[in-house]
Amino acid sequence: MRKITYDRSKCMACRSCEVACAIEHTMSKNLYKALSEKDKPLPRRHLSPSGTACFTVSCFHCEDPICAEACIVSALKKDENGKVICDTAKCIDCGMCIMVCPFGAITISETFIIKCDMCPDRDGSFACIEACPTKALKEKK
Amino acid sequence: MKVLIIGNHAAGLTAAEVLRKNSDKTDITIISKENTPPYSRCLVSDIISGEKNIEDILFKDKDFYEKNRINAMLGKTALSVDAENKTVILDDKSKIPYDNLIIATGGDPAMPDLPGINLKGVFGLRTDQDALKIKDYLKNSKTAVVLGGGLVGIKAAAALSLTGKKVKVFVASSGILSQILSKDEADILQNKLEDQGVEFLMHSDGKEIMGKQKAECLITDKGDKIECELIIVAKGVKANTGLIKDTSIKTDHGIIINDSCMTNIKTIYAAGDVAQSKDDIRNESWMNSIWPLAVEEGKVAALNISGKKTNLLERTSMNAFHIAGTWLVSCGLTGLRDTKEDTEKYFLLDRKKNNYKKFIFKDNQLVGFALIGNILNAGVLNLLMRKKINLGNTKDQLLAGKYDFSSMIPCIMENKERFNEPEFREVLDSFK
Amino acid sequence: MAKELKFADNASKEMLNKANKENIEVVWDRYEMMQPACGFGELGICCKICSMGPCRIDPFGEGAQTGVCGATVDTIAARNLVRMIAGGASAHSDHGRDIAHTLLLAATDPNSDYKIKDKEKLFRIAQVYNIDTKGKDEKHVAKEVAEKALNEFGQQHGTIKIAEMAPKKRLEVWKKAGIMPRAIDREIVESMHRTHMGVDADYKNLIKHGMRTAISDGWGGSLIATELSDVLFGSPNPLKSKVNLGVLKEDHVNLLVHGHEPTLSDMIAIVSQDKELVQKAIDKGAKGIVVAGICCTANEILMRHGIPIAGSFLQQELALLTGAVDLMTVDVQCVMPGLATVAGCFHTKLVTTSPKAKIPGVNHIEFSEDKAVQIAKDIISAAIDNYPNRNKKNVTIPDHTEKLVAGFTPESIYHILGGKYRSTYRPLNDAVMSGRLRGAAGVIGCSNPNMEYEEAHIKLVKELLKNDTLVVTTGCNAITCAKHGLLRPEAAFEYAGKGLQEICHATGIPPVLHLGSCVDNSRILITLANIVSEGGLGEDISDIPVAGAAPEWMSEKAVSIGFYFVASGVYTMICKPLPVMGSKNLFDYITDKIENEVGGKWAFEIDPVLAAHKMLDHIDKKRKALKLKPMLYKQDYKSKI
Repeated sequence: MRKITYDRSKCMACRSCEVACAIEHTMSKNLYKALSEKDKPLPRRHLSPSGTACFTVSCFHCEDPICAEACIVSALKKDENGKVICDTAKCIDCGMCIMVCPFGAITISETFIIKCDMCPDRDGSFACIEACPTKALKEKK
Repeated sequence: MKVLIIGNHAAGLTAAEVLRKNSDKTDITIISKENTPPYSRCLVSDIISGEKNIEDILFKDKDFYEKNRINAMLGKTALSVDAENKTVILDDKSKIPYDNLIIATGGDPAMPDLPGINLKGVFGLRTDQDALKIKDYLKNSKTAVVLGGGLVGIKAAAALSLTGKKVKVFVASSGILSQILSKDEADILQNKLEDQGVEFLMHSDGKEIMGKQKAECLITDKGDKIECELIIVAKGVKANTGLIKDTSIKTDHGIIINDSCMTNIKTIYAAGDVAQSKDDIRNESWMNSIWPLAVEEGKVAALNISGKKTNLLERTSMNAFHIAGTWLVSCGLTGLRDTKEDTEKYFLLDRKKNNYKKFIFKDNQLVGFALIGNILNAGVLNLLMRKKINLGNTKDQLLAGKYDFSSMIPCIMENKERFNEPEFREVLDSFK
Repeated sequence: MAKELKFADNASKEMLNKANKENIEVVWDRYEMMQPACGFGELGICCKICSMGPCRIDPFGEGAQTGVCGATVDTIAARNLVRMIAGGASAHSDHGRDIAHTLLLAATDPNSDYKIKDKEKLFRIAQVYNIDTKGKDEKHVAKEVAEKALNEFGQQHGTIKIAEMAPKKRLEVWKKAGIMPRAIDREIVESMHRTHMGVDADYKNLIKHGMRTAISDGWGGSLIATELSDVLFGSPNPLKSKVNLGVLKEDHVNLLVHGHEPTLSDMIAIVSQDKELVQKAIDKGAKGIVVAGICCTANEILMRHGIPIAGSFLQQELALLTGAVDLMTVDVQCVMPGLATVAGCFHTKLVTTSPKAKIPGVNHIEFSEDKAVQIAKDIISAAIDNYPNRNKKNVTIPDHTEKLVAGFTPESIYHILGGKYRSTYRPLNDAVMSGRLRGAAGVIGCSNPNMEYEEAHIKLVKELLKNDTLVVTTGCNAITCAKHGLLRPEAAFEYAGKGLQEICHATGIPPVLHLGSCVDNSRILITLANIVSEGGLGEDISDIPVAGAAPEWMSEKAVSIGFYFVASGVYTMICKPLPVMGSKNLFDYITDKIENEVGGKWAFEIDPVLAAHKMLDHIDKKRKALKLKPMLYKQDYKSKI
């Protein structure tokens, strides 16, 4: 099961991870073009102050995903690779998963929920990890 | 081992899945009186408005029973349980034996003893069939009445308001959703539904339904005569405990279960809307009939049956829904009747962004909260509430809207030992 | 919404509560939204100078260690710092230029509303410029002085003449270090040139020029601003006044002036007494007109006219929250564009007046020196016209003011110390030599929402006072000290050590002396030069037992000021560091090695009491080197020197 680790002591709060994540989830996947797309680019990773430092949250793809338990249409499921994915076509935007995710890793749009999907359109890399200039975000080996 | 599950919805199907995941050999049978593929009961009101068809609200794949090797006996009703002989008797007189039994029969709409309740045009709303009948009956109706301001009633009203028919909702108490919302939140939601054309009559109830063979008008307790053709009775759900009435299984409003989801009879478990478990915030035995809790009960029952000793996590009431273009999450002691004197309440309304937050504290612990509009990070609050974390130092932060996980890390670190779930351990251990 | 202010004055606390209640966003809310701040910016290791970037250096060694052009972290941080100096120096010096132009106008335009108010000072300055004043009237001399001053901005030969007011030894240090400033605008142009892509990559070389630029501000542009403002508007003398939002009155027209240029505020201050305007105010139902100031322009009219100060930089929005401000004029520097939104929540008319400083959507009444009185009258008229529009139900003027004494300058200190006939610095120097005074400190500078408002200013100043150190102050620190009562003579008996108490008792001065606005930090430089020439405390500024501090600095101007003090040989302390922490070499250079070249250095200490102690350590080091007598009275803090 692939996992992303975060070393807080190396985080510069530059938000490159947020920007890269948002751009990755657009049609054009290009910083300049994405800003004029109809749907605003939305990140799945969020950085905010934490005590005197900062912290970034994105879906942890839990072993026993409570969001999948709460989903009333079974749109959220753990797949064979251990990824917790949302079938956005099934998602009815009810907010139950947001009510139970203890990390607040799920946000919501007018049509379906937004959460880390481990960049299915990429070549196996993760946008946030690639964008981090200090390697605070890494993949767990 | 032979496990029999009565009930084909969230709790029952989760139990079946978990049983199969834990053992290839277990013989799993599901009995259900409905003959349809599993659909999400929470969404039947959308069938009324036409927003969804039944295919849109199915929550298991078509090959679910096959893939999990479940013997599905659909369209059969379990009439009674013989605990001594460990068998269940169906309506076709057959006797199904079991080693372990999970009762997940849910509940049925409570139909009050009103004159005229059996007239044509009077419906409960629980199943897809109910919804399809209502949708059909609407074609020849002008005014629809909903009796009851609870979640089923409000969802029905919202759906009806999209059909172009006149909708009137009779609410016995002073606010809609009084079980889970207090006046402040209820008013906000009520206003939004009124903008959508729904008419609310508070402190009102139906006393009698009049008509020749079908419903033609409703007489209220104030003596008013309301002309209507369709009435949806949404006055609560009664747990389907009928089948165990001849056993020694303890019941109250529902079947009482312990933290392992077991009844007082060793091999009999209960899960879902039929079960009555604990409420860790109210510190009482309570009916929390909500999907995630039902799923957890099914899971825990199945794990215990499979030999993996598991307990239910801390729990309390929690509801999330999307109605009249607004999201709403309400957890804990937020209901109208939940007002206790020794709690502190904070009510924050951001008119510009149409957001509302309510927090209820008791002795520096969060015992309830409601979010309307922006519901993000509700899960963080939910967890802190259920784990009864002392939030004394973070109250200002909470009220300022900074209750995302990152902001709450210092508080969580102070209570590190309480967060033992594997994902938490990973995250918290990374802070040396 | 912002939480609360824990240390600040009560008026600010009350107004912030009001902002929270009424959901009006102010600077503290916007600051919180911006957190966490980007670490690359904070460490000074982000470079946006060319489009091969933007570049970021990984401070943890794993990612990029140089910019695309090959610039190291030292080069990047040093370039960024020099641009900050250039920005700050530009603000001060451009202000100085405007004052010089105004003097020229006063000298040559017989219809000018500006007059020459301090003839003596004018003639003293003429001497600095080697102007022969024999037989010339003041307008003639003023013309020549103005022209000489203006010349300092763009001359292509020689060095800045007015900088020669520095002690001889100091000029030698600068010449030896190669940092004698040549022309005010030139140094800034060269700063921009050197920091362009592919020019100066040597951090020491860059900082050296940065110091030269800063000197062209402190001993150039700012000095010209201060000196010529004294000529035009009068040299300040000690006076009494009041500070804080309580100076606004419910039954008066309230006009706030905010910004930095006394050419406007001084005119408004005078014109507001005009009988016709006062009558107009009465006709509209008010009892009179209150003029009060925010920031440095407040300090200018306080020093010369005793006009009360409404508040400092961080109170600019809070003042509008009283709902009692009928009009606020703004000119240049330290004006938050966010004022427009806050003003929009009330009847307040916000008016920009400088062609250099407009705010989208805000009324503009352009101020021009050649129509000064008329425009001032128009502005005051507009304020009076707006008085009836006040929403009386939402007027909350916090009932808090504090008394203060201000108006100290190098010249007025002369008079106070020595009396009218024997003006001298002798008593001051003697006090330090005899151990009655430990030393002196200049505590100045802005306020910043990145620190608890006013905490560092007050704690640092009080710690110095406790240890017999006379404090001189300017700018927003002066306003903060005033609000907390430190500008009252009685404050000596509440906060000062025994030695400092005796000085204050003998002369009647408060233990903290208000020297004016931020350009008036040049007054501190002149005072230091005077102390040197008086004798007994060394031959250069770097010998004197003094230290400087800008505890809650915010602006680029503060960076320029800090550098000109360092370049003048003064130990300069700030709490939150300059954006250099990403470059160990640069940090080591400006906080240590630079002392070998110019006798002064920077210091960073986040705890204000510890910061004061470090300043005292430095002061004691200087006392020891001068072999001065031990302190007369027991000191609260004993340094390890």
